[in-house]
Amino acid sequence: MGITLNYVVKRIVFSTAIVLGISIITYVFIYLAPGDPAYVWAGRPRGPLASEAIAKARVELGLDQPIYVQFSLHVFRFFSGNWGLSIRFKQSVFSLVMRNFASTLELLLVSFTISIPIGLLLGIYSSLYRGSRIDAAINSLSIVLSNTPRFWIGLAMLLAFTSLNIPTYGRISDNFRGELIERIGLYLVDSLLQGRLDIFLDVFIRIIPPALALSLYPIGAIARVTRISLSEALQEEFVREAVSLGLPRNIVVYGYALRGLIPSLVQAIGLFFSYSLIEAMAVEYVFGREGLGNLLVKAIPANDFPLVTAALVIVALVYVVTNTVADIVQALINPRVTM
Amino acid sequence: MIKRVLKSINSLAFPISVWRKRITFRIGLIITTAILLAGAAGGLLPLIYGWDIGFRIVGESFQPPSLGHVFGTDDLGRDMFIRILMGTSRALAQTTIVIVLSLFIGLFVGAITAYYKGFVEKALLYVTELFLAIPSILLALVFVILFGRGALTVSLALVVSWWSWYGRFAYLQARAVRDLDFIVLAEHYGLPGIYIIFRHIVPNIMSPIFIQALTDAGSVVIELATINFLIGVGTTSIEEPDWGLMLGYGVRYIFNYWWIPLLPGLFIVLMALGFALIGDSLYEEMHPQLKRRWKLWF
Repeated sequence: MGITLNYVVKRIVFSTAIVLGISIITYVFIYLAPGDPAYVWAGRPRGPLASEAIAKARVELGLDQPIYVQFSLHVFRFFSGNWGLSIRFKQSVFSLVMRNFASTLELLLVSFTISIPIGLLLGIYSSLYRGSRIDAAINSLSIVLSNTPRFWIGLAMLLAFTSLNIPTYGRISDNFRGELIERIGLYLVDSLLQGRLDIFLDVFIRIIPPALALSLYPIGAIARVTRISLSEALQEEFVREAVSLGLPRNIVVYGYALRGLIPSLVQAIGLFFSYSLIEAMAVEYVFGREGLGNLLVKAIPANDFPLVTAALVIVALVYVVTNTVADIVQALINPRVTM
Repeated sequence: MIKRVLKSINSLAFPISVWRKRITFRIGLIITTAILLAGAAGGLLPLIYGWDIGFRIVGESFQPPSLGHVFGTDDLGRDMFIRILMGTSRALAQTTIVIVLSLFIGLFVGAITAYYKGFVEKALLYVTELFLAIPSILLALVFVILFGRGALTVSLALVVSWWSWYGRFAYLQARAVRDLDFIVLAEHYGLPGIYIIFRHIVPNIMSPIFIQALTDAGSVVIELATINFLIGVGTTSIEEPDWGLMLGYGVRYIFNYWWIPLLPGLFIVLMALGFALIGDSLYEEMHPQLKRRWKLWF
């Protein structure tokens, strides 16, 4: 246990260093990019008030101070969550991004609840029958699933559901919008906390099609990872031993071979989770749901630099957190892992 | 000279044997060849008929696919076939830039990371991990705000985040060969580190990473299409023949004129699928434990 704790501390220190690195990169973007940083930070203003806006941005960024003061100011602002004011929405970027991030996270959680069991099951069956037709079929299916653009599938689904008169566009029906009290930002949980089953059902029906469209990639990817690693594990000595002892097949596969794979599977799923965040944005935009994707689509034409940087930082932070958690889980299960 | 020809024929033996054994490889290779031909045609068209061939109005708007216009015409009356061909060469060029540059950077950073132990290894691993954390599409958006719209900006932004994948992969591969005898011997012989990396480490870790890159080409196409579908920042004007842009712009016509959004989407899917099928069947052939037709003991 001592070794594991040591590793956990090391891993967390490393992740903190990565977060610090991300703040440095955002600093590089803002200050060392070509042109006037204040001009970019103010959203490339034009018109009579432009010089005023640029002067304000200059003070806000601390451009009149020496570079080390600028840098420490930037890092301090980064860690205190003061990421500037959105140009398009005139609100604090941090609260704006966080509020919309909850919506994206909700979608992502539902889609992974769908895709993890299906992907695992496909992968296990594929590796149990590998070399056979079932394996070839499942493998081709997973290649197709993980290489189709998600927004494309989402579009097809939106059309199909709309023509069936099932409401899928938007996150919540307009009638319920005023009635729902937001507590933690996940509408599925909020509606249940409020005890309103009708709102819950409405939100649930609207979240399923985008979640399905989004879950295709993880299903294919998880199936592939499971297939490859389980195929290797089934050839190990301990599996042969367990079989020769006469243990039933399900115990050998699920109790012995698959158990050893939990750490690497957790890590792979964590990776797919953080990469799906980007796809979630595209799917969200197609389905007209609020979220990071819609926010960015509105922000880009206004050259909303603070907002885009904040979104980049949030996604990078999710990557770091999931990766760290996966690594720690791996270390807890398999003590041989070291830095 | 003869030796070199023989060597190149020998290196073809592996793909040929895969071609014989795997139908997925055959399908993938046919799709990819077709895409490459279409890309070549799309690159030649402006040279023959003038640079504005993709923007020229050739007939009535909204004509369904026919013999005159194989893929029909779009809302302005431009020929969809020509525009899709030009989009193919565009997508191929962008994908090639992204894959080749990031492969090059990743391979050498990974090899250097594994060769020099100690501080260099720790520092480069940190940098690789840092760039792995940065999402490519959002980085592209930041680059667009800083450097202006355009295909090149978006491609370079993808390179900046994409190389880290190959960096990590190459590091893992190179670490496995780092302490083998031929490397240690070369080191004891007094050869400079950079020579050992180029001459001994990189050639030994190349092939799995190449295959990974081949598989990834499809993902690059999808990322590029996603960016242009959402915001269209990978193009300088809405007129440009880009698949993602054509798809995103044509969505409004999907009920009445299906060919306008559907055909560019189909080409995105085909290209992604073709590369993935090739990469996947090569991977399977290199890992015999996956392909064995092998009854379990139970």
